[in-house]
Amino acid sequence: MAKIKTYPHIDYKKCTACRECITFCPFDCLDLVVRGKDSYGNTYPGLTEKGKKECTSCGICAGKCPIGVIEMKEELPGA
Amino acid sequence: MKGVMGKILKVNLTAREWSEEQIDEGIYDQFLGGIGLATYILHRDIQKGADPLGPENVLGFVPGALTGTGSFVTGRFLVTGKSPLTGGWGDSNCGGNFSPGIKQAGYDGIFFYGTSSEPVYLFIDNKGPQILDASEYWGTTDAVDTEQQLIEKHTLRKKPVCVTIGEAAEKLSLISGIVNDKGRIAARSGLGAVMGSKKLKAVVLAGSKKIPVAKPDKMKEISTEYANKVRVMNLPGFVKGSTFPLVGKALGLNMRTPMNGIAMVGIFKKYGTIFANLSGLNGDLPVKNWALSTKHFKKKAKKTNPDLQLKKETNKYHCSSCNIGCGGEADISNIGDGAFKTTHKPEYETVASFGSLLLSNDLDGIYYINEICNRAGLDTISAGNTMAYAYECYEKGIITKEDTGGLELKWGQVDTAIEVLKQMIRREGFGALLADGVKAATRKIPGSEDCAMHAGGQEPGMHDPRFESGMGLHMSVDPTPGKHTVGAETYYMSTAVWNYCSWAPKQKLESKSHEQEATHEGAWKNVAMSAMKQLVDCSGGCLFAMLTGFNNWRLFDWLNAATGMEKSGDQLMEIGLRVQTMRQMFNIREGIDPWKNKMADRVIGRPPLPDGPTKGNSFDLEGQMQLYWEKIGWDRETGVPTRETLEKLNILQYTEA
Ligand code: SF4
Ligand code: SF4
Ligand code: SF4
Repeated sequence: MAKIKTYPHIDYKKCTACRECITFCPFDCLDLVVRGKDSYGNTYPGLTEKGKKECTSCGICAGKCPIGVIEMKEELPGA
Repeated sequence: MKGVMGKILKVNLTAREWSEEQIDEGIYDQFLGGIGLATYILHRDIQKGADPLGPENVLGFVPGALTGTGSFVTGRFLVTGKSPLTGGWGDSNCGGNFSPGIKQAGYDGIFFYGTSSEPVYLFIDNKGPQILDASEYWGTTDAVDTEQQLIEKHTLRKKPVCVTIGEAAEKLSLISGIVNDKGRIAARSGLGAVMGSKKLKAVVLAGSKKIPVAKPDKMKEISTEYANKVRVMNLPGFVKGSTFPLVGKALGLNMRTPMNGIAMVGIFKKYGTIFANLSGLNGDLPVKNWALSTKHFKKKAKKTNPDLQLKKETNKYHCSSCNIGCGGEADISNIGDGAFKTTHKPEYETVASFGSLLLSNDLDGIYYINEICNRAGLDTISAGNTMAYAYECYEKGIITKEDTGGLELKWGQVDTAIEVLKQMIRREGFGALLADGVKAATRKIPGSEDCAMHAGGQEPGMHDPRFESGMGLHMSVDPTPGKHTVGAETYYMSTAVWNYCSWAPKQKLESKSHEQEATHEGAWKNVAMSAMKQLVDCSGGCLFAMLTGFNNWRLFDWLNAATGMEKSGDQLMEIGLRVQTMRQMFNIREGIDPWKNKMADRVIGRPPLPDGPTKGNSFDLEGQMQLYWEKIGWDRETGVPTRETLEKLNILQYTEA
């Protein structure tokens, strides 16, 4: 049976922009690409265009998030 | 022990070889990691009397024991070695994104021995280390561009992280540092020159090794609690840049109070360190080479309102694992000759050292200088102090236009400073006299000693001991003198360290008049301050997180959860004391007299300022140093750690020459 592909979905209400998920993705699929809605001007991580194609669904980012706000889901995360 | 990788990498640049060394559990138990591990390795591997710029010096890059383990604000690294600036123990704590890369490469430290004959860089991926040719970057490419190019070159599966040096370090400036993430610098202690002397242009890391964690669920629980606290701490809308002189006044009241450090987070998230541009008008901000009170900068300071800096900010910046994010990135394409597109938001330290210290409020000029220093890898604190020294020498006629090559060094003029700075970096013309900081300059400019502000050879950070005597004590008593990051009373009161450490005095609501005197309680606080700061530097932590309080930023609990140790607060603080004593022993071994690390008289109020908020202030520095030494277990007359202390801390075997 083919392995089901999943992608990281970040809960931006809780994400702290700490970059740990970016640091530990072994395939460089995440970067600061999501402009935040906070008043500070933070940018938040998300799958890059390359990441959308190359994410291996390994889930390391989700495991490394210090507060567990990354959920692996089958659909690609929206913009 | 979990949390750490269990080994270090040793690179011999002379022989172009590398080897790995397994580190015994017992060493981690005693030294944890980060700076602690470095004190053990450098004591062992640097021979007594080694030339800091010779092959005998060892340059170490160490992440913290907590780096990459799921805690927050613990992604910093330290660069360590014998300092060519002070001749003693050198370390520099740095943010950016490099630290976790060391662990992902498989190591708790990368140590460089020997000297390469040609420029090289170290590259590590999952296949292992390689020493590669860097001649195309040496002498041609600044620190920021080199980083960019090496990252592009080595991006295969994973984008690497990278530290580099710029022109200042290549030319062995004793006030040069080591750069990562486009301008976060390990700036202090002159360790850039050590890297330059080894002909090591860069270290590029692209590993993806797993970092073992003892109790991941516990880590997550503590981190979630901290994240929740930081998330809801925001400044009320009425707090603007122009409010900070008032905040400064409150801090300047004759009062100490235990405060919940989390209250600081709102300021750090919005402004970062630049709130102090204006809060420092309470007397904390040094003016005109430390000669005037802040009264003389009050009007000018308006143009350094932190809101003006926020206007230039395009994006917030977070060091690795940081949920606070006090940094920023700024568009500077319209500034000066437009040579640079962006820069990191200049920190308060830079705004002060090239602002009030030169009687200037030219914010644009400071942004430009910031980027010049980042690219050349120059410490803005030391460079600013050195510039102010030169301006004063010029004002006093100790140097003239003949010496400066026709340049007029007039207070308030930043354009001239930019020209001199460029010369300093290139080691050309007048700038060559200043390229190694104030102490070295006094040897070339006779009669200028009174204009040179330093402690033990290192220029002071931008917090005035006449405002806060604890700052002056720590700048004088720490084995890396002159730093503003190693301790202060104002820091202490928000740490809540007394909840973790039985002998750390609880901060009471009290007047602070007595701080000018040497008191037993004050000395215990100062010792606890040093111990906790060293513990933070063993962990990869950030001073600003420490200021949010250990009851919020639960370092002690994270350390146990990440490593699997079950150490009490007192046991962890003992590691801090051990590390502090190891650093001091390094200085003793190198023949440094601890009394000689005393901060320059002017900076500590001798004579006192005649006006302004700190009018008349000076303090009993010698008495405070002696009591600190007594409490920490160093000889109260000489500052040399006693044999009893070395035995008690179980480090006699490492420190015997
Ligand atoms: S699932 Fe794996 S490959 Fe995909 S973004 Fe997360 S860490 Fe990267
Ligand atoms: S690791 Fe988690 S909290 Fe940190 S940036 Fe990624 S998603 Fe956000
Ligand atoms: S608080 Fe600021 S300096 Fe400290 S780690 Fe976070 S971004 Fe870096």
